[in-house]
Amino acid sequence: MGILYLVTSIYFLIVAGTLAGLVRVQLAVPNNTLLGVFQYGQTVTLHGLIMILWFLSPLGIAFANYFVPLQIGAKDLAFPRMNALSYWLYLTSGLMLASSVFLPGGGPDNGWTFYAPLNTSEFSPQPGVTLVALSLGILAASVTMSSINFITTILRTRRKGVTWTSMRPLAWSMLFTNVLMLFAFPPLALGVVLLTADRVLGTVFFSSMQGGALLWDQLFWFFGHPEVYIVVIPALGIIAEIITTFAGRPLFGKKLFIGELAAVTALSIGVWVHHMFMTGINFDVREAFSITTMIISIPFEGLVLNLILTLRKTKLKLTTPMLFALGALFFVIIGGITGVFQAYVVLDYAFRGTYWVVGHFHYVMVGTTIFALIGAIYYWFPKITKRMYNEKLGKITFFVSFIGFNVLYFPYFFLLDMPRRISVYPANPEWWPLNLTATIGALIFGPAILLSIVGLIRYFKNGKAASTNPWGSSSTEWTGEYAIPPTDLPVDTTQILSNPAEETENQPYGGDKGKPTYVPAIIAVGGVIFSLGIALYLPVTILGLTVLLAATVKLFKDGISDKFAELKEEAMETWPFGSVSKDKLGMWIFLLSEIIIFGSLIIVYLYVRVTSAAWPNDTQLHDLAIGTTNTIVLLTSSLAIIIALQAMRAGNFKAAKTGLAATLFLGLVFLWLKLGFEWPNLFGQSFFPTLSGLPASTYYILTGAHAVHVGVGLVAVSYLLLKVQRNKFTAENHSAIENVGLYWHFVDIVWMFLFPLFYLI
Amino acid sequence: MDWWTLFSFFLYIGVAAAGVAIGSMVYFALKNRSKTDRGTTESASALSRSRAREAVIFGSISAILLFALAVGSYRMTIYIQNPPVPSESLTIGVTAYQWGFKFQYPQNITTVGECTIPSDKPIIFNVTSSDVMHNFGLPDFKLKIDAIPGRYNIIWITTPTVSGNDTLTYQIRCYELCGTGHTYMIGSLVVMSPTSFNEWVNRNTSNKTGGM
Amino acid sequence: MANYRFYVVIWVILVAATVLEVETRFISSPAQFLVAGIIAISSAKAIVIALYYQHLRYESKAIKVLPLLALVALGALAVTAIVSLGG
Repeated sequence: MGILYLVTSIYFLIVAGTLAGLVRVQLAVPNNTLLGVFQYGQTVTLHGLIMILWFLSPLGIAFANYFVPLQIGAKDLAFPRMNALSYWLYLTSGLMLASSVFLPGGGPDNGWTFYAPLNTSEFSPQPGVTLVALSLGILAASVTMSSINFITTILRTRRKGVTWTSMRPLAWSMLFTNVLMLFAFPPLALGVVLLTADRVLGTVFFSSMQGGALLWDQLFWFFGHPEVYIVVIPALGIIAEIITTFAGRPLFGKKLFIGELAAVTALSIGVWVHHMFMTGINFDVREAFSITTMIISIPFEGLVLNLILTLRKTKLKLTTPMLFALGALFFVIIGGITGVFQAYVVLDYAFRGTYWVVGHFHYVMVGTTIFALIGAIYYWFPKITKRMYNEKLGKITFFVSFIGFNVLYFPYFFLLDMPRRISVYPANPEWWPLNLTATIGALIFGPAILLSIVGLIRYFKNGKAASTNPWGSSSTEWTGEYAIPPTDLPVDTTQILSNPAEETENQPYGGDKGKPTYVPAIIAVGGVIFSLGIALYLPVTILGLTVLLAATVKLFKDGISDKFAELKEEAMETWPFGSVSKDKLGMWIFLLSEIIIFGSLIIVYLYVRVTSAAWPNDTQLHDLAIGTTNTIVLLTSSLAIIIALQAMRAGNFKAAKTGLAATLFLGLVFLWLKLGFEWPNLFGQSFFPTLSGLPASTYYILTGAHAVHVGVGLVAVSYLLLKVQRNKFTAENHSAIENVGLYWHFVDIVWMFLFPLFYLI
Repeated sequence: MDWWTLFSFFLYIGVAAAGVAIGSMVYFALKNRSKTDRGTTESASALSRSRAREAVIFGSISAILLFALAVGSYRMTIYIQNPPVPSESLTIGVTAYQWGFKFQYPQNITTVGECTIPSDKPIIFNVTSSDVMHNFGLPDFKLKIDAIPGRYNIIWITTPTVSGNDTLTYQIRCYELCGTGHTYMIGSLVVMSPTSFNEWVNRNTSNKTGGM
Repeated sequence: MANYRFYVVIWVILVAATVLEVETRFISSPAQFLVAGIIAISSAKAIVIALYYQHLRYESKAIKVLPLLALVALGALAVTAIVSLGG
């Protein structure tokens, strides 16, 4: 899985890197005619999206997939098949995104930030934009699943001995990164769902004058700011790993380092408005976020200091990975400081929308992250491939890239007045020499990175054999302290798809063998077909849904519970989640992302309602009798499922079956009342998004999203019924009932808030 | 104080901080590098001692620096935030659109692309958009504000002195991607002496430009 | 058997709270009180479901903290989004 992510992300790097090259060539001279404005817009947009979301993060995930289990002594992630699904969704969504340029009308040219109302059908009618919005949605699903997986794995399946204080920096940084992913991607997913609804169903979330533009801004940046930390925190973890190995000493102040990572993670959820300083919002809000942005720089610089101080009082080896790590550190200092400048609103008046910002984020995203990630490839090369790369070539590519990078990006800080995303600029003596220099830098930097990669590929095949721990690292993935035999077999496709658990004596495992499954890949394909349908031709969505249905049926037949070997409880380090099973913990973490997405949706509703001068009297529009009945129906269904659980615990299979059947029945009643009565009634009163604007948009999307969740819950309950029917549950082993119950009660809780919002106030 | 002075203040501190950090990193890397040995001579207890003291010291230094910078920029922040009263200034409505800028004067004049204003006066720009999000930017003044449909955002400047028949021209640029015309979304700000401005107003009140 | 009764009691409380909420619709009272009251009752229902049906009351502190974290993040978004609208 790690290998798949690695290879796929390098592929996307090359695609997006080529796009970057095109940008620089276009901007090399004034008034260049190489790319038309629309082509340039697409280039810039896709470059940003692919680089950030389909290359930088996934390459970090690749290393996380490969090494976090090794570092913490787990055999694999907590939910391996879901992990496979994450990968397939990542791959298919990326391909879908790249294909948007071939659709009629072309791809999106509204920048990776996709601002509203430029992103609506009115101003960007091409279906390519819808397709890209859906790709973002699918990627959000992939990432959320990944984060549930990693968080559960790290919280719950560490081997005994891997205490919180002894856990390696990479594992820690991945824990924090995944927590941020869990919290940050739901608002993005919500934003693209609302955008797609606007574009395809005619809702008016982002086109309305009542704050449509700012609504997107808030949702997007609530995601967007943590996203950049999601990109950078793995880099910091990697730098820590590399430096400690080549300096042959532990990290300076490891506990402090972890504390600083925790502070950065927590604070990064509270700084997003600094991307909105010029939107004319409330002065106090701006100042508050200016202060939080200043505050976050403190632990961040602390991290840098910890890393630098690890170079003291020791003898170190400046190998290729070490050089890349130090280079990354150099870049984070410059990138970080230029970022602090932008925390101050007064200065930001000048920086906003100019190349200063572009310079800042390329220093941290490209400089710090790419150099750290490439350093990681070199560092772990002998571990993954069992061979050694060419040290001389590595060092040469480092120096050339380092110089090329600075020639490319440092000029940006002098382009203080040049707007971002313009495709030509006039023959202005302040601008064109700097732009030309930058392009020359690109022509040095790009090929150097490419040479690095090519070199690595070549030595993958022909390199000298390497020992198991050529760096003499004391980190557990090298020492094999928590190795799980058979250790690190060379990459082989059956392992990627299945993960067969080969049992040997005296291993701390239990569980059955697994077998390969193609269900995740099928689900991903179904998702793509569904999305293509929405973007291009609605009937195709039926085909997509059919494929998903087929995959679900197969999943039912195979059984949901993972059949892969798992550490036995006694062998695990579990504080503070020891009292909860892995599956229950996974469900709770999933519910956190659901809380965020539904919560954000309710906030959207409140936002538009508060900003609207006039709002129809909901209480007259929506049938109170049906609403109240439905509320009681749903409450009863919650009762039914909890009684089913209690019955199961007592060994009363019949009562359990009745309870589950009741839950299913009541859920269907709920949907029937809503979709069979209420909605047709409202249609009859011409309450459509296109005719009635925001009130209709919010009503249908909120109740619709809730109904979809009820539907999915019913599918899960049917699965439970099937298993009880086949006597697959016992009085001790029935955690699925409890976990589905947790989900079901959550859906109920959401309705507790939707009911008054639409029927009572 | 003006933007460049404040910025230079930041720059000195930033360059100094970067210098110290990068300098120490390079110093340690070079000083301690070795082709053969690796490893520390410090004892395990020295290595694992609590770094709380260093954290507090470093954290405090950073906080003080950041606070100093905040204090230094505070006056300018308040200054920008408080436009002068309308009676002492000229308020111009700016509407950004795909792809240009329209200007509405209180004297019922509308111009497109070029905004003429008198010198030595505070000018308040009341900015909005008629379609997508744009940004009304004055690079020479180091000021800009987003133009958002449905919202009115304010930015203001004080024009420099211009005498006689001279004019000063400044660039207006859009700093937010707004579609295929974004690259060419440029306007100009023309400053002329008060007398010349009054003549301009009189000329234009009788023949309004544009056909809005 | 006793356990079933406990959950049924919770159900009765929830249904009663729902009826109470609906009744507020028919009380003529200043809008703010109504809205505040309804929000309070809904939140109470949600908390009861979480504590008893989702068993949060009996789980470890670590699990109890998780939903709170999500709510804090949401709170930041809600407060900011709504407050930032004022000029």
